[in-house]
Amino acid sequence: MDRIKSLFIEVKGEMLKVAFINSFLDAIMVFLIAYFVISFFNIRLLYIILMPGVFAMVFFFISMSLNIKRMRLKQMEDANPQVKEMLRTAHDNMSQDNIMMAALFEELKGKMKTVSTGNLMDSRRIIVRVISAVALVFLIVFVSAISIDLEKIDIPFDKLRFMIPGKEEIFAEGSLAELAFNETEVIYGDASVAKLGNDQIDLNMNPSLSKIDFTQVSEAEDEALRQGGVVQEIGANPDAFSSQKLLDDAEQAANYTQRIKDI
Amino acid sequence: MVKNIENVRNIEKLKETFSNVTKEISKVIVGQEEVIEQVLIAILCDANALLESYPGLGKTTMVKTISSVLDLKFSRIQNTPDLMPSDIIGTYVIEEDKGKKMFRFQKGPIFANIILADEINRATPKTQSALLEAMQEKQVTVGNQTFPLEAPFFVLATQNPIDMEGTYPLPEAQVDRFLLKILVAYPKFDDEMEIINRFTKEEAVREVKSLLSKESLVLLQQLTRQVPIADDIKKRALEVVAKTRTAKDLIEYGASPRASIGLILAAKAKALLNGRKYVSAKDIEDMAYPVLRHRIILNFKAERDGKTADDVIKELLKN
Repeated sequence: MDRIKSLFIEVKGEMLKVAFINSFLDAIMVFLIAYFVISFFNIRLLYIILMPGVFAMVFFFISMSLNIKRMRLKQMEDANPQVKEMLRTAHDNMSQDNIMMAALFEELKGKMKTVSTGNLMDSRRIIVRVISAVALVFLIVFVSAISIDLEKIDIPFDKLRFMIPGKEEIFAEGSLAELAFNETEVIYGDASVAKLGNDQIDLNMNPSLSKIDFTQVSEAEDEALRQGGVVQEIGANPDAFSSQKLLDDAEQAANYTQRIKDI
Repeated sequence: MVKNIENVRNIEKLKETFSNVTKEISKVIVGQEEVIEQVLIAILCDANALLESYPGLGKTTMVKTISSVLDLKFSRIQNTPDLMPSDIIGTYVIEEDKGKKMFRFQKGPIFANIILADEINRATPKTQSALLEAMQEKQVTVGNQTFPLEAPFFVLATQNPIDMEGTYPLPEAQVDRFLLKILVAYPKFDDEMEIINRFTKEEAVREVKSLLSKESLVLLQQLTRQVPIADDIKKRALEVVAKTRTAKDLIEYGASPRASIGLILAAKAKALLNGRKYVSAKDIEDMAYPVLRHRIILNFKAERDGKTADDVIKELLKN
């Protein structure tokens, strides 16, 4: 019977709507979760929106195709037990054309008026989705407000650090404590890059940039004394090049190194 | 199209009609709703039923009342060992008309719409088979002449589960011809109180109105076969019948394909009687008992365990 066929097409349409709504809600959840996770990292705003968007889109299409595949008359029956056997009977006897089938169709048509997309929707599931979405939105707003950046946080668990994007190469092998301070390769990069070899390098220095005109310094001192002010050191301090200064600097550097080692 | 809509509207009224029929019958018969429903189911299926009960439970009154409400001709045959087939189907008698003698067929009590064959197991196998042939073929043959029986034709045979001495139990092949085996139980206390109130008063038992005509009953029998059934419910019915053949730990002989046909038909009739336009799984489960209980033979182990046919059917339905 054509009328029954059209009724079933209508039913399938309703089920398709439900599949769409469910997939859409799930995709929103995926988007928010992905956005929430990504917002912890210092990534450009464009990617923060783009990446969860791509995830959500892919999820939506996969979920939609799975829902359509799973779409069976049984779903409709389970959601509407009052029409369960009636619907199944009408479906199995579509080819029959008699008074009883006509009566069944009339009754089914009447009952199907009460069967809408709402009956097929799992209200509990929708409520959970909506509440979760609202909670996630609040969390995202909160995280944005306090500007959490995982890369800046000193994570006590060294093994977790490799999870930070862009740090995988450095922390891929062993923990930070295992790295010797003198492993310059790690600190300064590839040693071969810095190696100069025995090639002669010609360095040309422009004397005008380093030459000190002591005449000018003296004049400046005199000028300052003439004005009754404090003598200001304009030129280079001869002490800066003294051996004592170099020793102090070396000692300070050694102390600093020792402190870092102690850490 | 208009006629079709009108027919559909009439089908909507069916539940009300059957409800009125049941109410009318209950004016005379107290309780026994299930028995009345099963008798009506057998009538709607255009089939016969075997009623098993102890004496004095109102079988004859029930069948008489049903025939009155359905406006059907009723006759009762009390089976005895000396009852001959001709006593049931009729015989040729010599009749003289204007000096000319000729044979005229004198119709027996079988020529009615509802036959109550009381204590069928007391009749001889010869008489039983004559009755059963009429049940099956809906016609009787006397000599070389065949007489069709008026539709609707329905036989309700009764047998007493006790006092089996001097009886001729129906062979399995003949029992199989009954669509349903209906068990009539003793009435409940309150029902029995109502029975004694009704039947011990001075005034006679109220007369009942006829609510359906023969023609409409035939139409209802046609409608019963049109009740649609879902494929999985049909499969369920077949599975139940098939189990009677495979459950060798309980059943020695299972039900025949006639049982499968009967189960589906009875379920359709039950659906129609309840005003539904489709068969539900519950209809199959409800009708499995009266349809199968006389068609299975329990094995020694099941009988030794004190199981009845209904217990076994219940187990089959559970699995």
